[in-house]
Amino acid sequence: MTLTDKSNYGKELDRLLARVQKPARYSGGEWNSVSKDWEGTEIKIAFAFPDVYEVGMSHLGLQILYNTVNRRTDTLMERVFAPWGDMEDLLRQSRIPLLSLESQRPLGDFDILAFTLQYEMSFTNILNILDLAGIPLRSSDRLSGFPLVIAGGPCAFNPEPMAEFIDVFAIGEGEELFHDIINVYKSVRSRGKDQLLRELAMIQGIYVPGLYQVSYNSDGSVLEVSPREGAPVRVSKRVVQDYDRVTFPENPIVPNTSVVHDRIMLEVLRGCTRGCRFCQAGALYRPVREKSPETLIRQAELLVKNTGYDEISLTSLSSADYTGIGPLVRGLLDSMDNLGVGVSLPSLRVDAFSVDLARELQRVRRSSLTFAPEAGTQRLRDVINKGVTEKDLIEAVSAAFGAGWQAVKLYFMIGLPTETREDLDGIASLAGLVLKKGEELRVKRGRLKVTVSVSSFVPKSHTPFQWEPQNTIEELREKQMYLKSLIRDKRISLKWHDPEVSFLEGVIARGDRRLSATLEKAWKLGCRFDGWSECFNFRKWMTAFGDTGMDPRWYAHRRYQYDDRLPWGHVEAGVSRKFLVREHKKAMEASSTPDCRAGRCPGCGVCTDMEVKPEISGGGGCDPLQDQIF
Amino acid sequence: MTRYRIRYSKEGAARFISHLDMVRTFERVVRRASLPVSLSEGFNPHPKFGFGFPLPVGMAGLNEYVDLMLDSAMEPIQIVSSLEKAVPPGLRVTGACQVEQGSPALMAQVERSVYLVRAARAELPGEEELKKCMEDMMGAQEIIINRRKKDGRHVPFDIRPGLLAFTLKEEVAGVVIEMELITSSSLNVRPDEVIDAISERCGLLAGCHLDFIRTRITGRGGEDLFK
Repeated sequence: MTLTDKSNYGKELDRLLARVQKPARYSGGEWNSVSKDWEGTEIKIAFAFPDVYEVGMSHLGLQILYNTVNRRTDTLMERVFAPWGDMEDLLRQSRIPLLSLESQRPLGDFDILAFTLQYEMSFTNILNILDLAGIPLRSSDRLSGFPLVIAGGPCAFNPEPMAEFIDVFAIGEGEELFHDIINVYKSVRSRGKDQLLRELAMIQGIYVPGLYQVSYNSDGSVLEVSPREGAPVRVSKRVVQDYDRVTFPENPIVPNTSVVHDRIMLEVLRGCTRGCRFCQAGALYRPVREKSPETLIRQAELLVKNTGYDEISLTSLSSADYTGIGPLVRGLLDSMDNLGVGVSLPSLRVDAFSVDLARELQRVRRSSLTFAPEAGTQRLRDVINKGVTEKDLIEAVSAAFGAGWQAVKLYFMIGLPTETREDLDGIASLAGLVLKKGEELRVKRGRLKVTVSVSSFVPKSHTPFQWEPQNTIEELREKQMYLKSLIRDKRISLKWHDPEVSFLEGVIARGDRRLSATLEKAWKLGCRFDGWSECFNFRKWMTAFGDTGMDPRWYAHRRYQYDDRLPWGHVEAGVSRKFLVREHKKAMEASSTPDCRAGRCPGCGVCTDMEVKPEISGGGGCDPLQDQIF
Repeated sequence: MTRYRIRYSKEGAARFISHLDMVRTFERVVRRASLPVSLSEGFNPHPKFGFGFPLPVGMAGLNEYVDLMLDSAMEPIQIVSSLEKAVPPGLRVTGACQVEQGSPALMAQVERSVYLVRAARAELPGEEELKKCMEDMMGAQEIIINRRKKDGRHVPFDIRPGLLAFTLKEEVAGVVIEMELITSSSLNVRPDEVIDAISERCGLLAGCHLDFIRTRITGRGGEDLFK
């Protein structure tokens, strides 16, 4: 059997598919999937999503890039997902490399292998995918004859822990950047990997970690990151030129098996102006840009026709913030209702307006509505700049109960900077208030339910809290137990996240390049799918830290000084350090910063740095401050 | 409302679409095909259609059926061409015919299925041995297998009454077993159970990689369900 004989792999794969759970994860052949002529297409790219099919196919970014790249006649993009344990075992036993879904080719046959970094806890899956493809893990071990390994997505904004494995990081929005990468690849690939990397490093938004030397202080902190061979000192993220007109997948792949988000994902806006100080997405996706209602209606109609889905989800970080969301929703319902197509919002703001909107949209009475007050007291909500008051929450849940909902879910975070006992007490008392409101509004006894879901704060790069220490596992556990002792009513159910997972997220989210060795060790010890509770093995992770001589607590619990050189300091999200410092100081004073939609520019620096402006449909918007005012 | 029976095949990647996912997939297919499909009543209306006997995950089917209700009558050929343009790779729509409105649900009409079981020649035992084994089984009074129940228990079950025909056919690529089984709601025998019985009784085929294909579904007494 030769390694490139496709028909052989089809047959071999068939035998494995007869023996795995959910074979549709690996078989491909979906509506709108693209199978191009292999020999006749110059550049071949595999897009690798480091989680199972059902998760990866729910990711809009995959659909966007698949569409963007496959529009080119000179390039093809195929997909691959992390195989679940049963499939991994079979692949290894049968000595079959991991194959792409479309043409069932080994990943090693592609020119470029592109990963998306959505979540720190999927990093071991990336190493596993490389290994299953027979591709050396480390960039320095891949001289010639291997695909160029690139990675993008939110976690690329602190690329350092993956720096040893990835040849090229793509920072920021990919719709235009991907074309630049392909164009340079086409013209330079014949001149060898080193030359290719040097040329790629000249593109705005491209970070080639191998061209940067990192030196450390004696206490282990970063002293300096020095570029060589002309690589830029700082890498700035990419933002698309014209968001309203950027290519959007109007014929997305429709999976044959049910996936997490099994509906049309219509992106109505990008970015978020609310400025919650813990939120990394809010920083990375600035500035806020909205698509015009005309574009959205046109795209919605095409999407329904091209997919056959019966539901459109208006996705973004905060869709209820879309200017004219009411008219948009009504317009969509008018044009879609006779087709039996529904419209939904993935997340709600904490206010009565959002609930009214949700009521208008619902066709099937969903069991519960979810709100995220995030913190239990007004003081702490001001610290994190979550512009929500108790009054907002009570109005929102009153509207929900009044409209017939019987269950409400509340999202909170523990371990936030400056948190005290009082803030935890506040979570319990807010939950109690919501319950009481349900009683008052005569929600049926036995049906009334409040779910309190408590996650643990993880400090993230590029946010005002990037300098803050994370609570220890013990502190988080103690807080969870304290909350449990406060919440005694059976109608309130309390859920929390595993603090060991949050701890590792925190370590990796603010990690440096020396963690590459730890990640490799953890993978070698068998860590996979670390975001899945049935797969997560904390002990193996701690062994990996020990064996590589790293202290994870130092990464998670240290407090950085404003002047410290941060491991991700050479990657720029456009939000200025000055702004982050000011926001951090304001947080410590529990002072809030208004939304830039309100018309006053808080001076985050994105618009001036990126030469962009917020695009708010119907004008509105605000003029970015040319000089930051302090 | 007019009721139509759609004949289709399910091969290649589409073999891995489970029955439940087929229902979802078909809903999307009819919507993409823009057929005047009748919707169910209620808050969350669904297109009205009903499948025949479920095809197990991984098995190809050459002549499968689904009944579809349309609000207005259409030429069957038009229905076929609309659907054919809307099905994912591996599914093919090969025919449509009108069905009497009041007749029982398709699922209730199915009584028999014909299967082909294919193996690469290298993996097959001697043809003569296999032939003899199959003849023995056809001559047996009962063929008891251990049927796995949903709760994981195994219970003895006689498949002989459900085994109607059993032949060995020669093909270019290898030898093919063809079997006709009862697949109704009151008695249902699966082709892999018949293969298990061959392995158990004669020590043949155990551990072979076999491809199962359903070639035909018929009604009572072998009656054609597609006219």
